[in-house]
Amino acid sequence: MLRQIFAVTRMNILTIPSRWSSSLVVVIGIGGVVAVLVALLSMATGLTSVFTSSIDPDRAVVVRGGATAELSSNLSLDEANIISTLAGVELAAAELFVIADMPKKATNIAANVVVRGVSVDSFAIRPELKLIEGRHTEPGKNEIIVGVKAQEEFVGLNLGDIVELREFSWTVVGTFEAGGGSVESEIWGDLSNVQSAFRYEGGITSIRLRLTSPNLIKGLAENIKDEPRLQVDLHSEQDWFEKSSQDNTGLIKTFALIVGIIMSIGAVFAALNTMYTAVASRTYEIATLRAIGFGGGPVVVSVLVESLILAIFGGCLGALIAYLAFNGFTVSTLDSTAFSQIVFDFNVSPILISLGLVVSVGLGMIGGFFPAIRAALLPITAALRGE
Amino acid sequence: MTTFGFLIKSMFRRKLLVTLSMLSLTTAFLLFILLRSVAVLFSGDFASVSDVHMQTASKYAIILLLPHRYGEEIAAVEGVRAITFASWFGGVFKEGDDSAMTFAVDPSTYFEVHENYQISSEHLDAFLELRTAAVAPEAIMERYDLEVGQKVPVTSSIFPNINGEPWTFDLVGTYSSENEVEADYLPFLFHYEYLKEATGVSDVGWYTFTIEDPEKASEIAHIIDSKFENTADATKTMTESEAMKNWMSQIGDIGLMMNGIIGAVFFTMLLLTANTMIHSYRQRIPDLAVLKTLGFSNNKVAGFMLFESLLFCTTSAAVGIGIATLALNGIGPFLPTGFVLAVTGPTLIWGTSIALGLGLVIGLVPAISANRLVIVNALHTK
Amino acid sequence: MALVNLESVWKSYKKGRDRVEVLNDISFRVNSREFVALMGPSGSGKTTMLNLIGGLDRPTSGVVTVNDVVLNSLSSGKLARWRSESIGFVFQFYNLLPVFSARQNVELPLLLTKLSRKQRKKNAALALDIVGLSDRARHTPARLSGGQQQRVAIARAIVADPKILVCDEPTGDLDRSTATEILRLLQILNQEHDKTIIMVTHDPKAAEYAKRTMLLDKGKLVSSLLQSEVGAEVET
Repeated sequence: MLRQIFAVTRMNILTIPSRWSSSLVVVIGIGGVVAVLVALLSMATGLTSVFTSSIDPDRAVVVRGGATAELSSNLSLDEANIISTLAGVELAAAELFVIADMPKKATNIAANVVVRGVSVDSFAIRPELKLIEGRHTEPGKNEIIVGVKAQEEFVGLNLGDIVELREFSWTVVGTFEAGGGSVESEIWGDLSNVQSAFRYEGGITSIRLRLTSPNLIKGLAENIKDEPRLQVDLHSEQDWFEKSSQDNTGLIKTFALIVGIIMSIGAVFAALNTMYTAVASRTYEIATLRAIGFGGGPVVVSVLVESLILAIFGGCLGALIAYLAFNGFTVSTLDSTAFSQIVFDFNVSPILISLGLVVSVGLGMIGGFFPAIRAALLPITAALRGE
Repeated sequence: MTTFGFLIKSMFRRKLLVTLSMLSLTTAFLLFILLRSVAVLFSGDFASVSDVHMQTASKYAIILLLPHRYGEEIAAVEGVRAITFASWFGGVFKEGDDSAMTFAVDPSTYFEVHENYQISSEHLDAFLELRTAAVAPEAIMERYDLEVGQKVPVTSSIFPNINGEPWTFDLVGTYSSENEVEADYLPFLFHYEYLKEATGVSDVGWYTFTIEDPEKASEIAHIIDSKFENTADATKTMTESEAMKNWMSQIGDIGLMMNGIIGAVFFTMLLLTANTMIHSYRQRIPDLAVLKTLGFSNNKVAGFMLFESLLFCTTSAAVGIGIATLALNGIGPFLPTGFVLAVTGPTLIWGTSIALGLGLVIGLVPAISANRLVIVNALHTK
Repeated sequence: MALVNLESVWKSYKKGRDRVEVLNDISFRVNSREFVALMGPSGSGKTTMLNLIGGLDRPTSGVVTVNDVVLNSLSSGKLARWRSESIGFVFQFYNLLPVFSARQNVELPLLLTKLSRKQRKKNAALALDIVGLSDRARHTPARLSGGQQQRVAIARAIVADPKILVCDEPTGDLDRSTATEILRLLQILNQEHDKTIIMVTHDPKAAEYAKRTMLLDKGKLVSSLLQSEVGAEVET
């Protein structure tokens, strides 16, 4: 049986070159599906990782009660002072989240960028944040440091550039990275400077906390709810970013799924077409083999194997294209929770590549199955007569 | 039998193969239409959005508020006809849902400026009369299963109610727009005064006004913006279509992605269809030679091949576009508000041109070969 | 005046660098209502000559006049038009279009005429009736025997009522008894329907049905004998 399968399969595969154009259609058709699917999903994972890569279980965010984003929150410094004294809070940093608009390099059209007024502890709370160029801002001066992604995306954010934010001029004195997190798309300045420039005298939007232990988050959140002086909510970073990430990537994932499914259907038709043609062009050989005693099983297997080989070729090709064209490809979009641009890289991960290959195998199976059955059911005598 | 019938029948010589190729071409066109409509959405290219309507908002960010007194100053600019204002409320109708389009407005002027909105005088009177009244467009009524006459609880993270309870509005009417695309973008409207009373907010989100001469739009925008240029609340004035484009451009590179995908899809299907056509041509060489022998001229036989290719592509395109239209209508209600996917005129023209172009390109090689086919060489190929 | 007139016809093909002479200064005439068999070994140029007469091919030099039309000077478009009006073809392998029914195959040449749909249908039915296949009108070629397929092909050749039928080994793929039926049919068409028939064959038995037999060898016309004279020739 195995020898039969081997013999028939070998015959099929050796004839692929003589049918190269229709075989190529399967390879490219399935390659296209895999490339598009992997590219779209790598966009979603890239965007997700912006929100999730810098999550620290020790950290929490405090915003006004009911607020779902920093944008719609406002707090006072008094509240920040109260919170910093609560048991379990190691560090607390009052921050002001505002939005400015700047021209994007790609379009030269103004788009929103986050400007975050930060305290000294903001840096201590985020150890992943590192200056890669220049220095920190000096208190009292209108200076800013910019995230690497913001620098990449917007015009005029290089070291030493003067930036107009509201009626003030600011000097870019440093560039930072933050482990791929969303703050890399932000501009940071001294809290008091940002407050006065953006007319938020004494106001803040959120408080970043580092707790002495991650287990304390739940208890602390309840304590804060019961505290009559505070109208605030405490969220773990995990919850806070997961919501943002879901809001932002949900649509892309749905979209990838729909496009992937429709393209797959098209590719299955293409594969079926090619395999039927392959079977038809070999009717005579298959019938001859059957006549001299080969079973139907080996014929079925051989057609399936051929289809699978073509599909896997396609899958590899597609994954390769997606990887070469898109891995690390930087794009920006609107962060719907922050109302401003978020810059991220496509991430063609091994998981996505394996997913692409699994899809290609699936398409190859379906595309080969029906033609294989037809080949096995071929009426031998009629086929031999060339009918 | 007619010549047309003859062509159709010879095209389906291999029923299964032709049907499968047609189906895969159909899915390609289906995808094309879906992706194009998404790309159109993100490019903000809405031919339907008005150029007579302009809006003035904060220069720095659309979410920042403007002083109430700006209204009078803008109204005084020459060329401005009617003016109204609105504030983004960010109302959430259902827990866990995204915020829907909800504006706090001045009911008496809002419908004067938006003259293309249609509201019955009965509903408008009811809206004007009651402080807690609200009107909703068909799309929102349907989405949240609302009925005129009911009380609607709405929460907002931008304007939380003082007691922490949801806001309650009396839904007294419904309104619509003449323009079908716009109809899906209409906001839920309630009294700004009610919001002001409850929260003490006195600034407004943006001003919308109509102008007498659309040609003067940029001139008027310049006059208004320079009026407030050196104040703390500098403004940015644009026509509605500019504003829409600007907003959608923030979503950014997605349109680019769409075009990339469309390119990939079309490359794949060009290859597939060309392969089918050439395959079909090869199989038919003896038949074509017979036709020539019987007295069909070279051009006629070439025309048959071209026609077949065109028919093949346009039929697939028509079916694909048909399915896409149905699908877009079907998924409409599941998209977030503000996202409207529709098959627009330009998309249709594109689809049709591509079908014809593809048909020509793919049919060309078989047509030329068929034209040049030498009967005596091709006849006895059995 | 002869219906078919070949004058000093030469035909050569390029084969790689060499030129192959297929027809070598051939002149002959076929009169109206004749039934001529063209015989000769493979490669003698029978089919080429038939193709020249049928307007499928052009001579390298010489003049081919059929039905008072000089074929050399016709454009390929005009030649096609002329074929559809003046010539009916019958081939060894029938060359029917597989997707169409017998009647539709027969009707095919009429798509080139100005006849109405109804008239086309009627003429096709009549042609099938002449070849005795009215009861198989709806069958596709795959469901017909070889002899039946050849009858359909003959019906297709006569449906536009051409003066001349050009047949290339019409019985070459058929068994003896079926071949006889086909040859009788051709004879009837020649005698009762006034068709001039030129038939290539390598079968002397088939040639017996013709009134005259021409023998070709190496591109030259070797002999042209009336049927009564043939027997002696073959024996010697």
